[in-house]
Amino acid sequence: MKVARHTLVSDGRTDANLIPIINWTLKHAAGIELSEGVQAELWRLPEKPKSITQRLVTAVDLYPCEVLFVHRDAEKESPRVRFDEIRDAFEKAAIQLSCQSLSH
Amino acid sequence: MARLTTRDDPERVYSQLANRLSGLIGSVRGIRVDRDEKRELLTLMMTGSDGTELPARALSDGTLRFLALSVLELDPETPGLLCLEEPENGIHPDRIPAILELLQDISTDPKEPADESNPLRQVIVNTHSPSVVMAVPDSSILLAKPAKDIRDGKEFAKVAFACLQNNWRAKADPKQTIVTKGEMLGYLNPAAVIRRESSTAERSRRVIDLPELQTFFPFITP
Repeated sequence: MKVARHTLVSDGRTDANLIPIINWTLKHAAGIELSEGVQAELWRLPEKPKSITQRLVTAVDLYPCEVLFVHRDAEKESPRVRFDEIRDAFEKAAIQLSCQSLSH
Repeated sequence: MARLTTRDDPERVYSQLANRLSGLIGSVRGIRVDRDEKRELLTLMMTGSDGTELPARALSDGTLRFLALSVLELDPETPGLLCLEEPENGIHPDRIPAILELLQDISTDPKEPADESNPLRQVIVNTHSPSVVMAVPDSSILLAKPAKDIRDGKEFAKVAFACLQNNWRAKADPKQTIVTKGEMLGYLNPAAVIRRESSTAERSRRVIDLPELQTFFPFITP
């Protein structure tokens, strides 16, 4: 049985509505039979991470997962800008996380 | 209590109970049982520090629950499993450590041999209270969380019981579901959840918005 635990990093609390859609997508597009997702509730933190990279690193620490999703509001930017921004953040976060796991 | 006072000196039993109760409400001078032979009625009476005597029916639910648990703790002939629904209900937040200490005293100390002074007893409580979650031993916590599973190709909802990382529960079973740090945030930092982005209307100002109280909410940032 293919199972995936995923975490959603997004801009607002209402984006939790995306989780059932992600579950559906994982099932029908990726063949994941069972997926369970949570929204990273970073607003609860006393010191909220500001950059997307830091949000990704914190989300993985607080909500370990197999798949990490990022949702960003367009805010007048083109999809390309957001895509590049997220990809760049993922690359930086991956480096930070691999450094952290090596130090542990 | 009748069993306790039969096998032991009643005054000693009442004194022990009064001491325990003082840990909760801080103003208990004594406890006694009033016997009304004519009406065949027994009434527990509690004397406060100012000498006022109150019957059990005038005591709060929280005080009565604490009293009942104190009697249980003293009675070695009450073994077994004790399940309590939100034992902190009706109890002042400052007194929650006292009731948690009492519940731990009721349960068997696994580091000591089981005997009359350490009867075989287990206590299970459920709670939504951050004050309780923060104060109990870390290995005691099991977080009941909604989960999903599949059987015969059909998905269904279930409850998973997850423990905190790095305690004996997690080490004993590699398949044990572990609580993520994120899942604990609501219990560790409840004030952040009720924080509003802005509070402009004076009529809707809440306690948490009062400027003079801001320094008492250490977990929230503007």
